[in-house]
Amino acid sequence: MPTGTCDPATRGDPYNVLQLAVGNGDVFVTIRYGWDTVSQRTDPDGCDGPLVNGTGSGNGWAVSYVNAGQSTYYMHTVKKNGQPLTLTIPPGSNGTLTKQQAAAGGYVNASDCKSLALTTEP
Amino acid sequence: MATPPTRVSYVASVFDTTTTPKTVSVTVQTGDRVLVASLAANGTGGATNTAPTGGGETYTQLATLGVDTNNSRNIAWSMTATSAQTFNISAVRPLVNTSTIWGVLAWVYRGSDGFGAVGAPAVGTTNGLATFTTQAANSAVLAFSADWNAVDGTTRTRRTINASTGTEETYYRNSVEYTVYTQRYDDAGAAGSVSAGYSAPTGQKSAIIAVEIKGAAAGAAALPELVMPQMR
Repeated sequence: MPTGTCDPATRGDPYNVLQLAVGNGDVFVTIRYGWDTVSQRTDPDGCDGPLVNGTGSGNGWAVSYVNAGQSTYYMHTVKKNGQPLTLTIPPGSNGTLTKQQAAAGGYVNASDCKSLALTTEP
Repeated sequence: MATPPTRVSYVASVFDTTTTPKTVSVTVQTGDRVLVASLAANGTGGATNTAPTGGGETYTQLATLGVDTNNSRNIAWSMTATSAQTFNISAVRPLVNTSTIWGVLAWVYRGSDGFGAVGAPAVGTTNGLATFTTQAANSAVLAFSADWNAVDGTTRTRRTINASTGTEETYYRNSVEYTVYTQRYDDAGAAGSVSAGYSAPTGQKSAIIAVEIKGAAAGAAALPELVMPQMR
């Protein structure tokens, strides 16, 4: 637990980050999120905040995904209300989603990205 | 010269929830070696050491690291399957605090003469490094760590054992909480000193454990010759 609070600025970061890689690193997702100004680390669900885009050329995304493997992978998460979400990551893909694109798929807040898992099971 | 053990499976729960207990499903044959580990963001509130359960098997603690707020938590257990079955291994959150995220994992290995050496440096004293001396040739080495500093491992470098950087099983990071690394080396070569883990990123505050899974020694499975006394 690094120093600071849920606010990434307390660590000098522009955003908080969730990352998961499997398959010897071939399959890799990154999710960026900010702070909702309310949640605290000691909360049962930890820090929460909206997904945010990075800034700068080529960096304006909230979700990135890479699948250098031969199989389709699925990013599974569970929203705070219990609704499961799935993002399909085809083999050979390397893409990003803006926060607006992510929101269209149901990924609005960090709490929509709990139970983060990457599997070959849909 | 021995035959390296065969990795049958690796399974891991999610590492980003406080849920307890967590389960992972394994399928084993008699004699399989199973390594179970729990990793948590920190040891806030005090550590607990409850052994996993499942399959009616016995789990033996190999190492435990990180027992306070300022370190990540890592515990490893060994189990040798006494029967062929598919079952869930259930582990409880390895600390008192109820708002700390954690996860559990299990490797299953076959064709092994047993568990060997364990490397578990004092938590926070190395940057993702576990150096220890393997007891047998051609063992597999499993390494798993939780980095309290949650350093960004987008670019990461595994250490080399027997000319191999091994294979990464899982990399997980929540920049507010911790980073998890799990990896394996299939054949550590001759018995001797090995260094497992990640050399980059730097700045980690690691709770790292590495475990040797021995291979099968040549001829080890042969039965001793039975010599009957001469009858008159």
